[in-house]
Amino acid sequence: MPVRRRCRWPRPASGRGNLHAHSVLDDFDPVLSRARVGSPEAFTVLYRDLARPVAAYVRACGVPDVEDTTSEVFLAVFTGLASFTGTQEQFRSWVFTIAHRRVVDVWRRGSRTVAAVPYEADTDVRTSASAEADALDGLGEEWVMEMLGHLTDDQREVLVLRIVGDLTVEQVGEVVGRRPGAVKALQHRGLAALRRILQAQAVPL
Amino acid sequence: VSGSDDNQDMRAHLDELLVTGQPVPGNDELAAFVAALRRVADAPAPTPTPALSAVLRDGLAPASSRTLVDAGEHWSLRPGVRRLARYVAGLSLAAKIILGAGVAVAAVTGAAGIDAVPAVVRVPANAIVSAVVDLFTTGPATPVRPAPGDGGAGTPATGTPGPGPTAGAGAPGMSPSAAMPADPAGNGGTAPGAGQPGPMQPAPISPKMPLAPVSPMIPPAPVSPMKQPSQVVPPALGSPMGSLGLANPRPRTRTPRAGMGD
Repeated sequence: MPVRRRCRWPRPASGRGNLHAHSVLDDFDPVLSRARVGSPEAFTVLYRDLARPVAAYVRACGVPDVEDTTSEVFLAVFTGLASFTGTQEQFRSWVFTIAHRRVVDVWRRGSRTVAAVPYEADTDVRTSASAEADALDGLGEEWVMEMLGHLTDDQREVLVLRIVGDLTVEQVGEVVGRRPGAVKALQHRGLAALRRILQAQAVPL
Repeated sequence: VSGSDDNQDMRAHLDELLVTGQPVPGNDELAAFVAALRRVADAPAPTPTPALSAVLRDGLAPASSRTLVDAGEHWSLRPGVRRLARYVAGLSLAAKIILGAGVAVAAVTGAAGIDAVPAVVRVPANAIVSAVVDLFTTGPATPVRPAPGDGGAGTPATGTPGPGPTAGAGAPGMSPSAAMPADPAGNGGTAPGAGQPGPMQPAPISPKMPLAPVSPMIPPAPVSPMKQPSQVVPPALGSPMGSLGLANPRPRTRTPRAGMGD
């Protein structure tokens, strides 16, 4: 029985705003207002909107206990909502800032364990029905994590925040405490390193 | 605009296209990797912990949310205080008592020695420290010999007790030296109502010499039959307390004092 896996994220025509169209709340301001007074429904809406990218960011940064760390991030977000004011994009950046601090805490505790499982195409039994899905499924999560393991911490974090967190260069700079020029440089060096590794491995698509 | 700037702009533009998931000719592998990385966030959300589940189910009170944040900041800002509190809490009862006594001694000593401390606090603290120092330096059984020429203000009376209270005597409970005005000539002070004038040189203290009264209102202090006269400490002549006018001339035996309910 072939496993069909589809990418549920539509390819954008242009710009970054279309990448995570499903995560943009149309009624963000009312939800935020209700969350400020402790509404559980508003908390649930915000959690469902951002839990997956935050968890992916935490996982990509090599944090071993993704569930606990993600929950800690949202507990800090919900208990600190009274001090936040801003737009939805600023809220997203603020949430990832809290997540970044949690990740740094984990790194400082010395418990960072980036998954570095080597990818072996012969043992990958996953199949798909289309060429596009085949190409995408060939790049599994483990392989992605293994590729990210070749990058430096700063390069990996910038790329993950830009791609998974869907943040702009300026927002990433605010999250990691760097200037936009430094973020662009880290992003370029990370992409260049990945390009070299991919060409060396000659991953069949 | 140099060629290097053009290259940097072109490079930044290509990077931006890649990270935003747009097709870039000649970078299919990298574009596929970016798409795969983005799909990592497509995995189901992790299971919330019980604490977060409770918040998602019951919500938070606005005050409690602020309190939680404040509490976290408080503890994060004062880790040293937290460690000290844990250390003290872990001590035994005897260690806590010793620690408290040590802190009290340090506080009194510091209050007596620091000039910046107000006189209201410094003077009593100085008297306490002097009394303790005197106790350890002279010993309770050693009679204090008056220093030659020491007879200035604040020297307690050495004469025989007078017949009764006179005008100018201090209030009950007030030390004679405090109630007695200082002699500008430096002559020895005499307790009000003393039967004889104060000598220029203090009379030598004999073990059989009766004790000086604390004040004219106080009858002569009876010496406990259990104690030898040599064990009774006469008023501290020439001691730092005496020179400061803060001496407590009351002997270290129990002396009934007037106005104290006796």
